[in-house]
Amino acid sequence: MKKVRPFSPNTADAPWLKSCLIAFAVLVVLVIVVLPFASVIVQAFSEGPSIYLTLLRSSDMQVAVLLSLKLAAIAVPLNAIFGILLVWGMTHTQLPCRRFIMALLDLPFSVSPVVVGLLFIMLLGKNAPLGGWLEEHGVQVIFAFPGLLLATIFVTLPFVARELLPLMEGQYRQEEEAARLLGAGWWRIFLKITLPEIKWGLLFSIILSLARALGEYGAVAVVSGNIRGKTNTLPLHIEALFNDYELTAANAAATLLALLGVITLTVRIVAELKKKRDSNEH
Amino acid sequence: MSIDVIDVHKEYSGTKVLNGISLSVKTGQLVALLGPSGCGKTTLLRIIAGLEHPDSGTVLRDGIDLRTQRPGERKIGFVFQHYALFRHLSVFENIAFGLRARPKSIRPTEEQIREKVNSLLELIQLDWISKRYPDQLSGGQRQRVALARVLAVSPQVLLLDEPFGALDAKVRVELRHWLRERHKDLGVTTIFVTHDQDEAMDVSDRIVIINKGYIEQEGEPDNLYANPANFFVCDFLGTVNTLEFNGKKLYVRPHEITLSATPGGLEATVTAIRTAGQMVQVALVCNGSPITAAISHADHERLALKNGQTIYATPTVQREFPL
Repeated sequence: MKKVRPFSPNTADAPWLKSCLIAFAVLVVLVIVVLPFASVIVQAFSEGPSIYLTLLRSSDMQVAVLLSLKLAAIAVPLNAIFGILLVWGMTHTQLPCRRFIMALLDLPFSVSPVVVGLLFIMLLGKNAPLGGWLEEHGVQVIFAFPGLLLATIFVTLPFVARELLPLMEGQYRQEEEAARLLGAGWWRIFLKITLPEIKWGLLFSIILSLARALGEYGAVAVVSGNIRGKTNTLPLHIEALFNDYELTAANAAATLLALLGVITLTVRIVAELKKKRDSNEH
Repeated sequence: MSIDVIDVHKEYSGTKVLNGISLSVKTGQLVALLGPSGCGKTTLLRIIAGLEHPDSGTVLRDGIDLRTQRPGERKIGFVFQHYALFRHLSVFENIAFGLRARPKSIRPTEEQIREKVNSLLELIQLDWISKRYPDQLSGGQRQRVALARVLAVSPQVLLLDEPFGALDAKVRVELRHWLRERHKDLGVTTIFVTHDQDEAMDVSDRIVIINKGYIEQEGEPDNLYANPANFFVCDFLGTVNTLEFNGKKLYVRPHEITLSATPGGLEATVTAIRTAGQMVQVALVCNGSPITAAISHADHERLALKNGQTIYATPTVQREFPL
């Protein structure tokens, strides 16, 4: 009897090719992501864990961490509410300037953050009319918390709205009409019909804008004025430490930012798994 | 509860969809709005429900102008063509939705809601799937859940948009008989939209034929079929042949033609015979134009028709329309 040799169809990749591709990908991730990450941790702990903790407990560091968290805690919920309202308005009314609004919304993505910071200074700085007027009334925007907040809100503005727009344009509009005919008010419709439809997108976009708010450097750097222990956010503080050749301290601070990054990533992965389970259940 | 539509006009960016529609539906009637797609029948239904505003004209329910009432206040139930079930809610919660959405002062207790929903689930014979989600249901099941969801709020008028359009043929016939029975039990004034004349004939008490935003004719199904007011209605409700006979232009249905082997009437040639069905369909060519006759199986045997044979056709009715 003739032996039949199973052939691999042309479309299947050869095993050696698969291994090579995987090895290459792993190498790239190792060199570009894992290596620098590991070196940050090693450097941070190079003088021992007790020094590491002392560095983190320094008052400037604590101010920077708190400031970054405070900025994110205000900017992210504001953006979420703004994003939902904007997209709801765009999908439920016949706005004539829809495209224009979408283009405006892309501005924070397309303009360099440094330019954004400069624009704020030119508008709200001491020597600008509006900034001067505010100053006279005792409100300092630039080189103070309000300026940092404005910059943070500006650079994270599009995340929620961009993510939600395609979701809310979806085909659940008839469900909304059905709910309306059954006597439901807009809040109930939003909670029971709209929110379940957009909840994963909303969560993802909130996580993204959270990561951006915590890590933002450019725009914030310009409006902050780098007053240590006052207007330095965590990323700015890291740079300041680095410039002062305090490498261990800089790396210790970097581990905090990295930790925040890891937490956001973890939340995203958990959310994605949950979403998968959700759609399998129904 | 009666519905009166009075001179409703509607235009979408320059295109006239409804051109002065007036219509009254009496309490307990089951009325079909029948017309080709794009004739404006769904728009009319949406205007009655309050999902669209008419440009002019109004809708009354028992003499009350509905323009002052929001969609949720009109006591009108609307079943969408694709059902629009709430996909994030179970079948039970879908049906309970309207009850839970009521203002606190008139909201039933949890116990009352459960009772009401369970009795509706029994009515639609789906009490065994109350925990499932819409995308786990078949088309026919979704249709019935959509109906139960609307019935839960005890509407006084029921509007159905192409209620059987998305179902396969067998389920469609079953469901329309089921709907007919439920309408008999509940007696709710019902208006449904369809483009299928069989469906309209089979289910409704009265048919309103709409074309290009106008009402062409309305009446009882039998009467419309027998006495169409114009060619559009005649053509839309079934096959019709156009014959030149004794110098007149006649519009004759296939079963309104008798065939005979003895000369007289119109001379025609048999081109095809189809015997599958309750009637035998005979395709003929008469003066160069094709016509169709439907004769009984007994007549078919008596005449012993063959393809190519010459035969004499006589219309049994003299239906004419002014041009």
